[in-house]
Amino acid sequence: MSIIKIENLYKTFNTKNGDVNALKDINLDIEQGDIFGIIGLSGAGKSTLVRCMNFLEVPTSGNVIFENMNLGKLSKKELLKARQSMSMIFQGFNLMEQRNALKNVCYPLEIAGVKKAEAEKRARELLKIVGLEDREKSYPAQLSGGQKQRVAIARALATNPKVILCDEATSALDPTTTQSILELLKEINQKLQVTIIIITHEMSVIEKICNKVAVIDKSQIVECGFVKDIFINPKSEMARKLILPKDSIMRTLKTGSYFRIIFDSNFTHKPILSELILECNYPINLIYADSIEMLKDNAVGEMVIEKTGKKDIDEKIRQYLNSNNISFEEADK
Amino acid sequence: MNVSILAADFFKYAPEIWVGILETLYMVVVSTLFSYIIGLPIGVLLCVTDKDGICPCRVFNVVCGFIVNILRSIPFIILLVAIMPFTRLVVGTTIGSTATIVPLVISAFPFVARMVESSIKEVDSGIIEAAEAMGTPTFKIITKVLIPEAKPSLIVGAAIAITTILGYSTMAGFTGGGGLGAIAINYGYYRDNTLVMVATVVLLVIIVQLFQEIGIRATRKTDKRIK
Ligand SMILES: Nc1ncnc2c1ncn2[C@@H]1O[C@H](COP(=O)(O)OP(=O)(O)OP(=O)(O)O)[C@@H](O)[C@H]1O
Ligand SMILES: [Mg+2]
Repeated sequence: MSIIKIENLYKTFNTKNGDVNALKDINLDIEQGDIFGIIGLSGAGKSTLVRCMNFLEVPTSGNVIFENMNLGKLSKKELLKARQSMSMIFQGFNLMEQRNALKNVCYPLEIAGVKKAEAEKRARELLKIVGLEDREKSYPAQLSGGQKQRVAIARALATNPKVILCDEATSALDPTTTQSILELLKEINQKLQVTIIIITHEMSVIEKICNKVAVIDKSQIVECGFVKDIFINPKSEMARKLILPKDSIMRTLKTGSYFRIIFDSNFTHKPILSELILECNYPINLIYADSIEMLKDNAVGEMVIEKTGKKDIDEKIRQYLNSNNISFEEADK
Repeated sequence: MNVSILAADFFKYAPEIWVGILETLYMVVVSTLFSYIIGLPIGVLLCVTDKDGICPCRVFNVVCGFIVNILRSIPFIILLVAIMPFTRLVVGTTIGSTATIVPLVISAFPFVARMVESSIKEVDSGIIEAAEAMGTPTFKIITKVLIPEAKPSLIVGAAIAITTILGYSTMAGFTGGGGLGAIAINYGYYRDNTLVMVATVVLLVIIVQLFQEIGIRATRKTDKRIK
């Protein structure tokens, strides 16, 4: 069953320097129980999209349907109520600095009209779930980034939400802490059946916990589907870029000329390098090879070979790659 | 003048100085209270109706901001004289410490409003966004988020406001207002009694220090951002 459905959503910001089309014709269907990733580069429109999902940002046109309610048609009061079933966590944690951990978790309950004693009891249970039962008296200033995000997660769970929206929830954290927060989110998803929507610019986050992903590029969704499918066979340029970030390897290479070959699962069992050598009848120098993801017996990866320096042979390499539909790029440093 | 005459002189004025202290405290505390009763809501409204506020309302913001600015730019001593008819209307007289409270409040509340506005503006927009995302109605954002989160800054503001009001209150001495200001002017200035002059100045300094210290301590005690 779909829990959030987005239909033909557009968002345009009118600024002094003209209109900014932050989102164009977005259509998404997020199912109950999904851990749904939304990935894209900075400025792609990810935050705007997630803010449209709870109407913190009102779309210019299009519909957001949450649990069969069209958010655009709700009264202000109904919208505030709907938001209580749709929590949000942020990159900057956004805890109230003058409230301790327990009181921060109590906040959404106070707003929902829960009695104080009951709210504190529930808040303590939640702090236990996130592993901070002994820090209830600590103020945000006394907690580490990871701990603050745990408090924020406890706060997000307080009103038994159906959905948790995470906007770059791990971007301010180190890799180990990121890992533990992602594991916590996954656990929450499995134990409490909460649908989680994760905004990120890091493919590793998607890879670790999402089952579905939408790739957003320049205000539009360019690819959307199961994570395993997109990893095996990324169709869009942006997905490929994000799965195999170019700067990782290409930046470390010193001067010289290279082919960077990107292969998807269709080529897992194809001896590309050997075929190239036979085809060109020339020794080819392999600089770097890596398979990013092993899914069943398929691999997605990249390979860097040095150009031979002979025009006709380099041309043969190009022809071979092109005729086999292998994507590649050239770099001359 | 030898020392014994000086001392005798001082003790002669001591009861009046004591009354002056009490009158000053009375004027300052009551005026600050009323300035906040009027200035705090205006400051909050100025902040929330701002174009990036939680409840933007351009017309109100501009009109209200304009009135506040006009009032703020009138020097206290001129306001004091200019509103005398109004003062008489409110308290029935234009002299004495109670009468001074009226111009003090009118000149201090716009200042308080701006201070409150800037304190509330300091609240991290992320925290407000989180509160909105949790479905907080606008009024509760003010009472449960903006004011509690700005509390330490509001207290610092109050300490500044109270010392400013104290400064204003002494000027009222010229037009028959009570308190230490009147004593300094009547004895120290018109009768050229240096001792009384010095004594009132020292007392004013002590009172300012006292309010300042209370403010700092209260902030330190309430601010949970300090580890
Ligand atoms: N309130 C606003 N007013 C005007 N333009 C805005 C506003 N919010 C966002 N934008 C513009 O919309 C576009 C998308 O912004 P958005 O914050 O959604 O990007 P993002 O994908 O979240 O980027 P990042 O990864 O850096 O957070 C940007 O060009 C941004 O400048
Ligand atoms: Mg963003």
